[in-house]
Formats: sequence, structure tokens, C-alpha cells
Amino acid sequence: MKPIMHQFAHNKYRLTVFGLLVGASIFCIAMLRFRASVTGSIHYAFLIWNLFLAWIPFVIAYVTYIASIGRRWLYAIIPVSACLWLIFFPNAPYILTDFQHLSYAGSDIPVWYDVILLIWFSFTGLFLGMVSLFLMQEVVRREFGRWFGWGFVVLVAALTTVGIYMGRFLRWNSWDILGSPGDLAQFTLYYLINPTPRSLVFFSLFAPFFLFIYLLLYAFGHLLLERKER
Amino acid sequence: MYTQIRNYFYDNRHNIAVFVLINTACLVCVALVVARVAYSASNRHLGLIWNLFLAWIPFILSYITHAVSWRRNWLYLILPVTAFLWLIFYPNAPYMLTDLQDLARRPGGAPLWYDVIVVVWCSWTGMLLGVISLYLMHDIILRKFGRAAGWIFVFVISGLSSFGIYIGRFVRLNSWDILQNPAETAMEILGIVIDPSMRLAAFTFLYTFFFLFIFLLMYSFSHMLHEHSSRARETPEQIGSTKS
Repeated sequence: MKPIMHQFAHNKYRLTVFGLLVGASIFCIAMLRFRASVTGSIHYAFLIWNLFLAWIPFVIAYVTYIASIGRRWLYAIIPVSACLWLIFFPNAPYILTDFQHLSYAGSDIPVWYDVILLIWFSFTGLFLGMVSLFLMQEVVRREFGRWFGWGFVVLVAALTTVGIYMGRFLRWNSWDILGSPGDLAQFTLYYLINPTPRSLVFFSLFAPFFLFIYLLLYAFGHLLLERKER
Repeated sequence: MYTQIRNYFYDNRHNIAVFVLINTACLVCVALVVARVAYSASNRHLGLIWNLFLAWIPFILSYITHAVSWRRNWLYLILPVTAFLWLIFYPNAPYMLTDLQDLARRPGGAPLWYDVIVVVWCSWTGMLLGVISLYLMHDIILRKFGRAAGWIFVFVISGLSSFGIYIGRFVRLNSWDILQNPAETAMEILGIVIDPSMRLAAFTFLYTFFFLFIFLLMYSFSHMLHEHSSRARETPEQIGSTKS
């Protein structure tokens, strides 16, 4: 019993982050249920699916992070989980682009309710992504050092933006890469060779945004350490 | 002298990083809106720049207050004034989130996805300006009056700012109305408080919870980093002993 309590005290804040994200997800679903019961329509039900997809990379990162503390597990599990994580990761920040559904909103419920609903969903999704990216960065940093850790973050930011673009405009899903890898590779290659203005602008606006949020969270987190060390 | 300056920058590197990042983000937001105006030759979203400026005011107030708060006599001189001004202007920062509803009035002139990115950039920057300034104020309160007072402060501010956003969004009052004609504004606010509508209750409830969620999440996330780095400093033997 005592070691368990000790574990809890030792990982207090990690558990709080986890608990908050679970709580926020439940709250999101409750808000959507309320909307459905008032309007009688299941508009926005896809948000639950998107939020579920955003949880997948978080769980993978969490498991990888825990497993990577015991070294012998690390080399067996990392290649598999890193691939899966990378495939599913864009789903987390993808929820941000769901804001565009506001422009097709009907008048069955005041628009401010839809706004706060989408804000809840998108913040939860993006924070799920940020925390899981941080966990993966820690794994990389421990194995290969600081610079690799940051290189990894920049690479992920770029790949995620490509992933979101493919999901939003070309309507691919994460599992297509497992289902029909040939088609997907061909299609992606074609787009990489002939980029449209839309894809270039989207990329150059979204990737910096993603990096900005991550860096700010990271620097913000360390503000506290600076104060403690003083 | 040179090493002194270098040490100063090194010791405060995260503080400086936060400051530079958020101000760069503000510039990016302005550039995005300007690009939108130039491209479509319409004034859509120009209001975002003004809102962003208003969101920036409480940030700079709390930043200055926090910087001087290490000196006691400065603090007591400056705190009453800045705390009051900060409280009046603070709701402007999270208010940026409600600008997302601009997307519902289908704009035109530019592709929808571009508008989504512009508004998302602006609203997130505004929101984070708010969270950081709340965090800095929370830190001052925590140091002066203790833990409990610090957390009560966060709760109260979350509730008050949701109410402030409601007043700004639906009653169309501005921060400076309270300075210009305080009596009239106070009466108007009192009228709303005495006779709350369902909309007010729901709106305040949902936003208050949201702000608490974000603040707690960012707070625990930063302490999680602390958990990590303090563990990294422990010796392997200690790590072994905690694991068993």
C-alpha cells in the first residue's frame, strides 16, 4: 500500500494532467449530449470520433514513455509505437480545423453555444497532442540527446501539418496508410512534386502555429523552474 | 560586464523566451489580418487587431508588476493601481476566443480555411496572453498571501472574466466604460446581476470551467516538467530506490 501512495505522490502532476484531460473529454461529450437533447439533431457527433482519434497517440506516447524507463523494453517497443504514434498524431491538432463547421451552422441553437463547444473540443484535442509530443520528445532526448529531441519536434510539426492537410482537403484517414499504402504513397508523392498554392500557404501558416504553441508551453513550464532555482 | 549580461540572459532565458514568443505571435497575427485585408480588399477581421491590442494590455501590466514585485517597497506602491487596471482589462484576453464566432457569418473574399487559420491564430494568442498574465498575477498573490489565497484568486478571476466576456459580447460594454462613466456602468451591470438570464448562467458556467481547465492543465503541465527535471538530477541509486 505504501509504495502505491508513494508512487501517487511522486507523480502527482503527471496524474493531474491525465485526470484533467479525461475530465475535459467527458465534459466535451456531456456538452454534445446536451446539445443533442435540446436540438434533437446529432450535428457535430463526428467531434466525438475525432476526439477519440486524438486520444490514440496520447495513449501510445504514454505507454512508450513508461516502457522506455525500463531499458530492455525500449528497443523492442520503440520502432512499432513510434510509427503508430506518428500515423495517428495529426488527429489531435486536426480538431482545430473543425472550426470551419461554424460557417455552416444552422439556427437550431445559439451560435455562441457551438463556439464554446468547439473551443472545448479543440483545446482538449490540441493539449492531448502537446502532452503526447512532450512525452515522445523526452524519450528521444533521453536516448539521443537534446538536439535530437528538438529536431524531432520540428520534424513532427512539419509532418503533422502535412497530415492535417491530407486529412482535411484530400480526405485521407490515418488507417489508410495501413489499408492501402501504395495508393497513398503515390498520391502523396504526386502532391509533393506538384504543390498547390493552397497547400503551401496552409503549411506555412499551420506549422509555425503548432511550433509556437508547443514552444510557448515548454518555455512557460520552465518559468517555474527558474523561479525555484533562484 | 559582458559575463554579467550573459548570465542575466541565461538565468532568465525561459522568461525571455515566453515574452519574445508571445509578442512574435502578436506580430504574426497582425500580418495575417493585414494580408487578408490586402488580398480581399475588405475590412473583415480588422477588428481582431484592436482586440489583440486590448488583450495585450493586461499581459504587459502583469509582466511589469511581476518584474518589480521582487522589490517590496515598489510592489506596495504599484500593486493597487496595476491590479485594478489589470482586472478591468483582463477579460479582453480570453474574449478573443469568442471572436471565433465571426466564422459563422460566412465571410467571403478569402477561402474559408484561411479565415479559420487567422481566427485560430488570433484567438489562441489572446487566450495564452491571458493565461500567462493570470499566472504571473497568481504567482505574486501566492508569494504575498499564501497558497490558498492564490488559488481562490484564480477561481474568482475565472468567474469574473467569464462574466466580463458576457458583458462585452452581449451587452457591448467596454473596459474603459467603467473609467469613463462608472455610475451608469455599475447600474447596468447591477441590473444584469440581479436578474440573470439562462444565457448568462450557461455562458458563465461553460467559460469559467473552461478557463479553470486550461489554467490547471498548464499549471500541472509545468509542474510535470519540474517532476521530470528534478528526477533527472537524482542519482541512479535514488531512482532505483523509488522504483521498488
